[in-house]
Amino acid sequence: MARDASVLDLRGMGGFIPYWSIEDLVKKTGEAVINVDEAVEKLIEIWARRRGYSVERLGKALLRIKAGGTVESFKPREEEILGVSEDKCSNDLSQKLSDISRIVEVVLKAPILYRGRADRAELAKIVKRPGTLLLRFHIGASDYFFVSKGATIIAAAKLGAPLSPAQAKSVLEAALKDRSVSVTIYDISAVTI
Amino acid sequence: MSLKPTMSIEKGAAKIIVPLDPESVRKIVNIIELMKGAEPIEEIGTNYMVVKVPRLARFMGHRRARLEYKLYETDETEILVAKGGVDSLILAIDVIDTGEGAHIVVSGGGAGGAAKIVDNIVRHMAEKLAERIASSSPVIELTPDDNKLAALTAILPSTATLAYYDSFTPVRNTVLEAAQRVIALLGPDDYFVEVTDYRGSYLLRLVIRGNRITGIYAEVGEEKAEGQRAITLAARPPEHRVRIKAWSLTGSAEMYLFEAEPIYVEENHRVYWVGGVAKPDYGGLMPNTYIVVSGYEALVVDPSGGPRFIRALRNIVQDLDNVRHIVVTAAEADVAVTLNELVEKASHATLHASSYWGSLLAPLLPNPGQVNLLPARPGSIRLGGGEISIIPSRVRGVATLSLYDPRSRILFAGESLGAVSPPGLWSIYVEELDEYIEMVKSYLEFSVGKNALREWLERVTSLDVSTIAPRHGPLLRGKEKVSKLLQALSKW
Repeated sequence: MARDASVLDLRGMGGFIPYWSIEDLVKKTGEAVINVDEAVEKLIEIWARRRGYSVERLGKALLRIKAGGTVESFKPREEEILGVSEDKCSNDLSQKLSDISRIVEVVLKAPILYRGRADRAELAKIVKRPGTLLLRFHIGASDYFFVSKGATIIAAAKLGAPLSPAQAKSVLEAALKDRSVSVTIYDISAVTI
Repeated sequence: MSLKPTMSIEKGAAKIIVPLDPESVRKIVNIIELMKGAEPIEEIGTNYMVVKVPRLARFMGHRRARLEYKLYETDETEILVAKGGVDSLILAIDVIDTGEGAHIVVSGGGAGGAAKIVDNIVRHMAEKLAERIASSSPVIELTPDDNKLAALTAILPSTATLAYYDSFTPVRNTVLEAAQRVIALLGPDDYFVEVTDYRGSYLLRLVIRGNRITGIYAEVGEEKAEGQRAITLAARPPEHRVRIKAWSLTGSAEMYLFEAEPIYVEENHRVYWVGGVAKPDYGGLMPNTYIVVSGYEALVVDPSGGPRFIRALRNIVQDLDNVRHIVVTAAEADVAVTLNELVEKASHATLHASSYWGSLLAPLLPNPGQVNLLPARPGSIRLGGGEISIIPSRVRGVATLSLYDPRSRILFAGESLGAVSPPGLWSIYVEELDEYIEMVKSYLEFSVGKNALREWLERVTSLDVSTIAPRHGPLLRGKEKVSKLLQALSKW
């Protein structure tokens, strides 16, 4: 089938297409009409929108890409201080962590490494220490407990209830953003929970 | 406020000290350009120059000499050798990495009448180079809008692309040195720059437009500042070495990603990612190199990135004799560029490749005996106290390799699974899974055989994988996400 000369025929290239040529064309003429492989149509649309272009489907795998669209936001990611690994989180340990009598025993025995504001810089330094750490966040009137090893959370609980990895993640995020939150960090390498 | 280089001149040599890394300096150094305008040089062509040399009897003035020249380049030095009749001239510019900036030594020597003009040319070149470096120093012209952008209280454009990831040791003023480093390496454009220390107690963000710093924000310890006050606050970081990331706000065509990013850290067992050099606009393929360090031994997977990769590797293993294994999952062009240098420097390492790719590589290497040809069946490599599993694959027709590290639970997929990364969609780690699945499908559709892919998927789905580290494209972290991707591909 003959193609319109103004259509950039990129079929047979998959996703390995000359993105710079399309952008150049849009810059010079305001739009580019491209014919791509069906399998990559969705990706090309995602790409064009991310670059701030508007995309119109003209037919099967035939796209019009125009200058001017909705600009999506971009933000460099903040360095993750404590990772919450779904597969490393132990339900059993989280259950134990929620038990008040065990916790009292642990915090009495374990040496304190840090007590103060939940400052990202301080935490980043301490959580990288070898060994097992217990972090006790005081958020409002509640206490949250996290066990970390190698800067990764392996168990989390609030008093009376274990936390799922997803809950642990959101509590941690909130704690690190709130300047009123304080934290106590214990070295529990030599203590059994 | 500017970054004036310091210079000392002796007979036949001049030394300039600049707070920039050698690669940024080399961008500025061009021996021919620097010679132009020197008093004894009348003309410079593409392979010749005409110089004025004093006659034996000074009172007789000068004579003109035509010298043919050739240029030579080594890792650290640019050399010009010029000859013509009885006259000869050698000029050299050394850029030496001190770890705290670069020392540039301009030196020269000559024979015949040319010996008498060397000092003059060397002085001219050194002064011109110092002037160039000083003039490329950024100026600070802050605007309220860009201060907001630096503080990330305003939205950055969607075209922002990570273009530079490195580490450096600031010498005098981190703000100016970070900006000058970015401008010198990537060229004057619009950038968003982030400088951090390794402890998380120092953060500096800059907005650069052309050669002007137009926005600045800093967090040092407890203190936060924007604009003018941030310049003083961020001048000196608490640690001697800092990491620097720069995003091109207009969408840069070339990326320089040299700092090794730790992707798994445990006592005695670490895994790093290094991005190398890439132009995502050209086909959207971003190469990944990995370094696994277990105890005192290291394994490199798919070396790429040229000499700068060697620097990143040295930052991690210090002694390259500790590199015991180099695995080439498939010998692509970007691997070939770095491989020769790596096998020469890491001479205790064994190079593992499938029998096809290994046979192709062996004759090209200085010591073919270093190559270990692997059969297309499962195996393992001993590293530190443990083992790395080898998973053969035929997705490309000929045998390629994937590796699995049971300790970190990372699957180094090689070329069996990867992603096309169109400009603006690449990041070190996958951010949007659905988007990533499209990137993966677009990669696989035109690069692998579906039956062979299914065979490979069967092999890897039985493994406990928490991260997929492919040869091309972002890394996928999280067991749940990994299994979603593998499931999506098994139905594809």
